[in-house]
Amino acid sequence: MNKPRLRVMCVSSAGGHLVQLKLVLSAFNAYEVVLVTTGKNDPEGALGASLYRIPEASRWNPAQSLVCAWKLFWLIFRLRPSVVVSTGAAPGFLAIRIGRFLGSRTIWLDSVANVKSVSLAGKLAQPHCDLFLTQWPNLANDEDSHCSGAVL
Amino acid sequence: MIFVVTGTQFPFDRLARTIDQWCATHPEQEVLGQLGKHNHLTRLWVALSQLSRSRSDKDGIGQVVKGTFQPKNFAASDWYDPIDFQRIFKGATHIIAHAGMGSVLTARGCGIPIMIVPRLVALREHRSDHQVHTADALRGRPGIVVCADLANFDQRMGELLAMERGSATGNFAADSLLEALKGFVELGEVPG
Amino acid sequence: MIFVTVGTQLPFDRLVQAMDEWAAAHPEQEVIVQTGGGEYQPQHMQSESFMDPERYQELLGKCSQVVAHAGTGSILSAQEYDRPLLIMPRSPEFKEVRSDHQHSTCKKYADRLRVLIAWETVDLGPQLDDLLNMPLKGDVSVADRSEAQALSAAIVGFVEDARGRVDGAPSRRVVCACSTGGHLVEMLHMLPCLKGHELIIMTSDAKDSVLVPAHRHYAIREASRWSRSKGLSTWLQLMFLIPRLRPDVVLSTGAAPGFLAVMVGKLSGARVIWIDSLANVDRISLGGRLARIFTHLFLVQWSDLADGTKVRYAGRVQ
Repeated sequence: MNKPRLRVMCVSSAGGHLVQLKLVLSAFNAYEVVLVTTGKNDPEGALGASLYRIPEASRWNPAQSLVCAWKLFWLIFRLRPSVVVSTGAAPGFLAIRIGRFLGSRTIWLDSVANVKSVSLAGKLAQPHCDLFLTQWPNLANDEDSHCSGAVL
Repeated sequence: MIFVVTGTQFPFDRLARTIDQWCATHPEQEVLGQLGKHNHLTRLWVALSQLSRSRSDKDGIGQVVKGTFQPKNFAASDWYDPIDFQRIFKGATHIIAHAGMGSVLTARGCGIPIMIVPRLVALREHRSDHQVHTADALRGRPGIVVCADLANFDQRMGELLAMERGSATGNFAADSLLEALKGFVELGEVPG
Repeated sequence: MIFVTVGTQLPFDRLVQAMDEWAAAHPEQEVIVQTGGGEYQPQHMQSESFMDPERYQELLGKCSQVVAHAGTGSILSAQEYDRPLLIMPRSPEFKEVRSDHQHSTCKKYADRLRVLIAWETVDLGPQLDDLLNMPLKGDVSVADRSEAQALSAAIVGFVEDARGRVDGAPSRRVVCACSTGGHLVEMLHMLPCLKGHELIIMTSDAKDSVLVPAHRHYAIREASRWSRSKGLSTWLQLMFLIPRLRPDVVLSTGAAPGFLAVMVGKLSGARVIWIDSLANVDRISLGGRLARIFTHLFLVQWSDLADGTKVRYAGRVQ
């Protein structure tokens, strides 16, 4: 058997959320990283992590969100990550809920784009997070949400 | 070459029109755009909202969200393959983008000067006004020009073109953020 | 400062009252007592009936001597902080406990360094004088470490040999279930050897989560022969919890919730370890005897309890 390492699953939708998630991947160098995203095709690849694709989820598209939730459930059940990390949007929220249900510890890193208030998905995910980070100090209350710096 | 990026989720015709007019007076500049398009569902949503608004809405805002404006004075596509997109992005001298963090972070990582134009909820360009707040928060950072009002577009464009492409510094997150994530996974520490 | 603790489960007025009398005669000594909710109200020392795990750890860190009932949790905690320790056994005669296992524990500790024993309240005064004369810093005996290492090696070996239920997972998911108190303290001593594996801790008190910040903690319901809850609700809770967590290994140090976790773990296909508590000196605990048929590895912590077949001795936590 290999040296024991924790498995960390990083989930985000494509675009800005994924760019931010990739910027913090180096924090998980010591662990086995699994990247789950909604993008179609990514030239940078997964930066050494294994990559899984899920459909996009959103409030506006309940049917596709259901497919996304099912795929996430199956992935998390099968891969059983120790930690689930997300930077955002609806697939991230689903991953946090499902990850928590299946015993993972959960981290939400709210997008740096949310300056005036935490994103809707973040607000929904907050009660299910073991660590909730925002990237702007004015959004942290130091009780259940914290700010430790930004990707900027 | 100036690359115009407005995200792939919704079109941003207000910006596309402005750039099209600017290009007409600046034929010496090479401009390329990825303008995005509605997917089928948002198209349906837009169509329905048009229907409900059509009687009261005479001021032409409805035209904007229809979102299939085709520029005449610069080359544009709805969507580039990500590999092509990456190549074009890295080869650009300047970027004009909506105020999404993906574009800002990628441009900064490549050292390319970027102008950002926030999408407005009032014009139905996005679901919330967070891009306005993001743009406010980014104002004054090196390599970033914020154009909150397209009336000032020509002037902001001048500022953007005056900026030189810097060295590709690569992106990095704050060390404290990485430490916080590491500390939590390893030791269960919560900052503060 | 002397810290007196009687554990979280039951009161122990005989010790508290004797300490109060001693404190009245020695006003120069600062004494803090955790009474466990007994009827006797101490007059001459500061008292709290129950403490949060944080407060308990804080007092252990600040005190210079510890006086305790002969529970393994208290003994292990005092030794972890390297404090001179005086223990007094609870006795079933006074209805302070249900069996005289604390007398047996005391016999095992009788010749240990830095542990003094007061068999009865009359012994308490002279033994306290000895306790105060004891040097504050001791040297950790080498023999004790090797016992702990042998136990760790047995546990790690078992966990790493366990079949992983998830393809390609580089670590094992281990559910560690026990009731709160002494069983948990013993568990906490075993956790460091499983570094790199994913641990999920289940105890019967939600406040215990502060003791295991790096791991997911679930509070499960307490159950015992004597409590109102006979374990059905705990069993139902575990039936919903353990199959969805899909652990590779379930490890327990004991008491009824631990037994139920071991049973459900085995049913859900996990490999199962039972480590019988240090407190069981003469006989394996009831939970252990019931759990024996479900376990893949059954360890006791006193070599004379091993039967050479299924029940094995590998070492003890200290």
